[in-house]
Amino acid sequence: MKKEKQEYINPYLGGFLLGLVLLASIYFSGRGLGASGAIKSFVVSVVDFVAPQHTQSAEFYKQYAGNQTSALKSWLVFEVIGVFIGAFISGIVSNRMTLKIDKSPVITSVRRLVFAVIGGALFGLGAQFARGCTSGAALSGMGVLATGGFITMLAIFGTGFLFAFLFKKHWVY
Amino acid sequence: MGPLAGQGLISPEFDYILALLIGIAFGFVLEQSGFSSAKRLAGLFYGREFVVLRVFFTAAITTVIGVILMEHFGMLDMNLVYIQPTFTWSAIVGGVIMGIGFLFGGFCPGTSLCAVSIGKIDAIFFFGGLFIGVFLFAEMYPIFEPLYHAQDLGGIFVFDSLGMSRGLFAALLIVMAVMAFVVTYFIEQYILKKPKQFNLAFIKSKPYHVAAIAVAMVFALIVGITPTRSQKIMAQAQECQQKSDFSYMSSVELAYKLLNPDNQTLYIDIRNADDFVKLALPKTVNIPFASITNREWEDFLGDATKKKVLIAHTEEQAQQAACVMQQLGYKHIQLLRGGFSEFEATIIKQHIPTTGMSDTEKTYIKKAHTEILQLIERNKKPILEKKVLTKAKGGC
Repeated sequence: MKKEKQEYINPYLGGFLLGLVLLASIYFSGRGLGASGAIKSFVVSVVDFVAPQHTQSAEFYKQYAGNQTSALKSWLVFEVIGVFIGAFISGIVSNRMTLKIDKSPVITSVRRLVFAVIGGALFGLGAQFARGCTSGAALSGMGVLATGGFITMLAIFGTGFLFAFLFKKHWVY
Repeated sequence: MGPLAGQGLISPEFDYILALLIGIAFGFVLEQSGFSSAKRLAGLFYGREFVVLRVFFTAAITTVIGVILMEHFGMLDMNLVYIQPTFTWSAIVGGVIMGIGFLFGGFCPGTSLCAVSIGKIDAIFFFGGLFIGVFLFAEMYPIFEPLYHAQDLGGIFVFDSLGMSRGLFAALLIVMAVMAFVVTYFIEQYILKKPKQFNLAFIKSKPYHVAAIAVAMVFALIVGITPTRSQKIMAQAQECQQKSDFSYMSSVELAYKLLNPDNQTLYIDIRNADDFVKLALPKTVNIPFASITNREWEDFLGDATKKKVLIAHTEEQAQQAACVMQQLGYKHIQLLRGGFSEFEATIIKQHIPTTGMSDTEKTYIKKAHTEILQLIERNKKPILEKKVLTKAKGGC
């Protein structure tokens, strides 16, 4: 028999702890949390490895590639590796490890996965424009009261509420 | 005083270890809060699940309060913290694209990674999609670039954008958050008829909620009543200004010193940066008055072996700054008599006063005038000697 999955913690407690983590990040390293930046580092590194001429000529890559230190050796890359480990530990202690596709029963698995890829691609694209994702731009930006953080937060959640009706069968079940 | 990494108190290698530890805590808290489930995340948009709103808002106000407290007690120098620059249009467009991405995928990047690590296959696909998105942006960057860089407002703060004080904005943010918590609580109780998490008599059942509010109020009171470190120093400086007698240097003397520099004197221009850029005397370092209390100058100004000559617009401003510097324990301070305005008039514009100046001085002014103007011309980019304090580079 499997042990029963544990409940999630109180959201206010979770938020408070998350705030403390963000404060620690600001106090020690002078910066907020992030996630999508590490993916940018990875993409730059891969493109640099596969097509070095391209990274030297294309505007976007020039800003990041070709430095003395590898783009992968960045603060956010280490932080994101930490996120993976931390969530893994949490999954084990709360007995939530699974291997499954989380989806609404009225949609097929293929549809769920295709939509997930599209969602990820949109998020990756949008995070570049906004100079950060939900954690890097919206949460960390709000934490230090940066105007951009508030704009991005309102845009993400505003759009979410506005177009939610189109995706109802995906999420309400 | 934080941030530690920016002041070289943490080696770059250790900063990476910290990044890893902070990341572990971040991932652990996200997963414990239930952010590894797309249904719980996206449920917010249908009024079914409020976990995102609660966690997100609580984290934001915790951070805002924490930053204000740390800064107030001199534990954190916000000048060294990365403040994400605001590019209005790019932030809006990016947010809208991410909002749609959220509806498609049910995750955001950080939460998808948490879900990946506990084995959600849908999250693995979302996570893979992120790379495609970043790659697309990179390849199409020449097309996006004008929008990406449009309306650069720099690292501005939201309370400045809205024209209010930081304290007021923080208070309003907290009020808004609490209202959102209350509204969502009622939605859950009466519309969704969810089992109660805590009832209105929560004082009995959840004493730590009350304790948390009480602690927060005490902190707010402390911040409201006690002056900040720099306010304290400025207030004490006013007292000192009335009684202290300082040593002075005349414009002519300064001109001579600038043309015949020794290594024992620092020339500190405390006018604001804009004025300094417009017209900076050779050999001078700009430390605007408002930032003179910043700890980044401690090593530079604290060098007791050197004399510090203060150049302000007026003598009074130099006196104020000298008092502040005395409070901070900086020694050997000398002031420019008549301030920068007198120096500008006599040496640069050569309005030589008819009385009170010897002929030798008058001749010297003529000579100094030409040489100093040459130096200014050559020195268009004034050297800013500064202890290496790096502002953290951030961004997602």
